[in-house]
Formats: sequence, C-alpha cells, structure tokens
Amino acid sequence: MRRGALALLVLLTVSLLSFALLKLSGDLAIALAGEQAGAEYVAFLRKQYGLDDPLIVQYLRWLGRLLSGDLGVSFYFGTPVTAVLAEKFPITMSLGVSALLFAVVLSIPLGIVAALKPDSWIDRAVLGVALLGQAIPTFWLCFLMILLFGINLGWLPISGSTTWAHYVMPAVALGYYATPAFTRITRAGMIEALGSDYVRTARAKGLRRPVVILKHALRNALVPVVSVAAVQFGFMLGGSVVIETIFAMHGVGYLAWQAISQNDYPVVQAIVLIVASIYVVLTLAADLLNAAIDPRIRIR
Amino acid sequence: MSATSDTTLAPRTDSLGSVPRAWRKRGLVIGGTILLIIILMALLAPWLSPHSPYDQDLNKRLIAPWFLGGADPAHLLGTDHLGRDYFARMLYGARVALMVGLGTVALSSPIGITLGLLGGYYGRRVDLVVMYLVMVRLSLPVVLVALAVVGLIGSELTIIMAVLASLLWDRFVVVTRSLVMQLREREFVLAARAAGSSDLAILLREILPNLAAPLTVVATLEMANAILLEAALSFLGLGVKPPEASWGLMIAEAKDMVFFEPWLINIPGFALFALVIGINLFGDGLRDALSIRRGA
Repeated sequence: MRRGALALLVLLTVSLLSFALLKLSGDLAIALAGEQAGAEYVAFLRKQYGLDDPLIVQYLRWLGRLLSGDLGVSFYFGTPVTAVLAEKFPITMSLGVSALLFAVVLSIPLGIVAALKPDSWIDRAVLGVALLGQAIPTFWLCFLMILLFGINLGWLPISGSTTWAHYVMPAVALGYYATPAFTRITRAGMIEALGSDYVRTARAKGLRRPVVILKHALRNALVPVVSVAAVQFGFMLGGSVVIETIFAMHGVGYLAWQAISQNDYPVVQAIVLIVASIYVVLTLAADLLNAAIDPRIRIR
Repeated sequence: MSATSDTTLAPRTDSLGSVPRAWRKRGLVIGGTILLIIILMALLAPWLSPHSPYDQDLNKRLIAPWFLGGADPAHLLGTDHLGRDYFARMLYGARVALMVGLGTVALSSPIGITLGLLGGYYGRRVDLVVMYLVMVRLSLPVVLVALAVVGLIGSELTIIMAVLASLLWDRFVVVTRSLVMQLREREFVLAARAAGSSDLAILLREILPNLAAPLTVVATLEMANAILLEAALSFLGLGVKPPEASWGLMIAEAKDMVFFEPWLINIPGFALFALVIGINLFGDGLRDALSIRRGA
C-alpha cells in the first residue's frame, strides 16, 4: 500500500502548507481583537488561543481540531469556517460536475471520431478544437458567451446560480479548458485499442463495426479517461475562482476570492486544504479503480 | 507505483505532440510570425505609439477603434474609460505578458529539470522523494494558491513571476524524469561511466543535451500557462496593479462596460489568445525542427 501511504504523506504536507499560509497571514490575535484593541487585550487573546506556544505545538493542536471538523472562525463572517463553506460548497460541486459532464460529452465522441481515421482532416480538425481549448483565456471565453448567448440572443442568464440555466455558460467555460486532455487521451486509447488483437478477433467474428468500436474498443480506451477525470475535477474546483467571479455565482471559488481580498485567511486556508484533499483522494481512488478494472496495472 | 497507474503524472505529458505532423512546419512559421510581431510590439512600444499608456484625457474617453468606425486617427485602437490610448496600453501589456512568460520559465525550469534529472538518474529513494514533491505540487490548486500568496506578500511583477515559478515546475520534472530513465542505460551513458565520468558530468554532458527538444516544448507550454495565469490574477485584481498595463487588468477594467463597449474586452482577449496559440504552435514546430536535426 505504498500508494496509499504516499497519498497520506501528501495530505499531511498539504496541511502543513495550509497552516503555514495561515501563520504567514499575520498575527491572528490582532486580527481577532481588531485594529484599535489595546495591547493588553491582544496579549490576553494570544495567551487564550495559545499563540505564544512553539509552532509545532500550535500545528499539532490545529491538526487535532481539523480532524475533529473544526476549521476555525472566519474573521469576516464571524461564524465557523465549516458553516460558511457548507453553504457554498454545493454550488461549486454542481458547477464542477456539470463542467466535467460537458467536457466528457464533448471530448469522447471527438476522440473516437479522430481515432477512426488518424491524420485525416477530421482528426486534424478535432485536434484544432482541442488546441483552441488550451489557448483561449477562460475569462475571455466567458465574456464572449455572455455577449452572444446572454445579451445578443438573450437565451441564458448571465449572473447568479438559482436555476440550472445559470450553470450552462459557467460549466461550458470551465469544462472547455479540460477538453484537450480528454480528447487526446480518448483518441490515443482508441487508436491503441483499434489496433489490438481483441478488436481484430471481434471483427473476424463478424460483429458489426459500431458494436466493435463502442463495446470492445471504447471500454478499454476509457480506462485512462477515469484518471484524467479525477485530475481534471481537482483542477476545476481550483479554476472555478475566475468563472464564479465573472458569473457572480456565490460558490467556494467566489468565496476564496472574497476572502483573499478581505484578508480572511482562516477561510482561504480551509479552501486550499479542502480542494487539495479532494484532489489527493480522487486521484488515489482513480488509481485503485484502474487497478481493479485493468489487472495489468499493479499498485505497489 | 508503476508508470501506467500514475494518474497524477500521466495525463499532463500527453499534451506534448498536440499538433499533427502535417501542420507542424506551417505551425512553426505561423507561430513564429505571431510571436515575432508581439515581441517587436513589446520592444518597440515607445516608438510605435506617440502616446503614453498612462496619460489620461477625460475629453477623449471611449473613442471607438478604427475597425468600428472610430473617428480619431490619432487613436487607432481607440481610448479606454479614462481616455488613455488603447494601442499604447496594448503595447505595454505585451511587455508584461512576455516578461512574465520568460521570467517564470527561467525560474521554474532549473528547479524542475534538476529534480527530474535526480529522480530519473538515481531512481529508488531519490525518485520517491521527487515523486512525492510532484504529487504535493499537483494537489495544490494553482490559481487559488497563486492568488492567496500574491494577496499576502504583494503583487510586484517579480513576486508574481516567483510565485508562478514555484507552482509551474512539475511538468519539467515529469518529462525530464521519464526521458532520463530511458537514457540512463543507453550505450553512450554506459561508455561514459566506464570511462570514469562522474555522475554530474554524465548528467550534464551526456544526458541533458539529449533533452533539449522535448524540454523546449515544455518550456513553451509553461510560458503560455504563466501568461494566462498572470492575466487571470490581474483580472481578479490581485496581479498587476493600476495604472500599469496588463492585458488581464485591461479586461478587468472594461468588464463593467461589456454591454456597451465589448471591444474593450475583445482586443486584449484576442491578443492573449493569439500569443498563447503562437507560443504553442512555435513550440511544437521547434521540437520537430530540433529532433530532425539531431536525427532522433
């Protein structure tokens, strides 16, 4: 279980980095007491919260609280960070899942079509679309969509997160950035699968081409897609900052941006920690899942 | 951990070779041309525009650019909400973009290449440490961490470059490491070792030169990445500060006018897009040119 141990070590390191971020953000006692508080009150708070203790003691105490689900108190909201986050997380999760769905639904057919005739004009066009996904700045894409679908055509709402229609443009913008990765991995997997013995056998058995492509080849080509999905979902949670700010969706990304601007680092630290943890857990799960699906992959 | 199970490492390297072969020569020319134009714009900024990017003229606010029938021949790309010449701001914005791209990669590539050489060459424990570092780095959300750190310690251009460099070295490691693993048992390396070369000499003289082509591609990709990230930071108000000109900041300053003056957003948006496409095409083309010459 070296893979699991490594994941745990990574999580621990990430927690250390988050703690460092919180410590670097300034004197917590002053932040809690307010700018105009007397020196005595600040000293009292510092003693009260154990801010005079050695850093390692503070870190362990912080870690202990973290494990019992206590992420501290937001300076700005004055409420527990967990409560603030619990309110915002569903929005970002819905956004991430819809973006992932969009990316997968767009890229897998593109990848298959490209793989059927490698180096043909279709293949080149598909890779061109993928290249555009990489090069177009996300926030410009957002504004282009707002201008076209929000204003000129008036089809979609341009800010907020109350109905499913509010999620369409943000999900497309966030998901489009991930399409190159999905398209390429699907294409590569399909090219490999289509050239393999079991696909030739299936064809020789007299199975129809669509059946072979979709049932035999695609199933194997999708194994690495699971891994990419895990990685990309983690990236999307982090990348939602820009999207949520533009579309005024009050999710975790918007909260992070607000918290950074307001120097509310208990919140910032918690978001970094949670997004990083989700990434570590998802990639570990994808590795284990792949090992279960594909016996050729062995995890030590 | 076998190479195939490595979800954290596998997906990002496959973006190498994004452009089909037939396009690549054309890509080198097209990408190179775009890059050259933008580099010249940045270098010759003071001579290309008679205006300063900072001078405000409130009597000349929001003049449309020439292609939208702008009335003022003195302001080819029009003026922004403070009456500043948009062409001049675009030129100085190009400087910021190119500086961030080059500066970040100049800082991040030595970190990544060194770690990749160590992990790939020595393997075992050393490699495990290197892989652990890469996994920690990949688990950190780039935009979020860059925003948080820049928000904390300041947003001078050098700080932005340092922060981005501290987050964008992972792809150098992954590519260097896997190539070194392939090369370390090859005849020329074994011969050098038999001849008594030190590990350092083998790494620098025998192995590193063979990595030039793939690392060039990584460098261009990361340059493009850094440019987009700086634009995003500046767009969110935590990067380059007003009154400086950065393409991301220009989009942020114009976002309230998106309904009335969309060109204010589309000009810097398109410029960013063109620069990133140019860098990607050029990088892929260059890799091919380099590997053909090396006969690899």
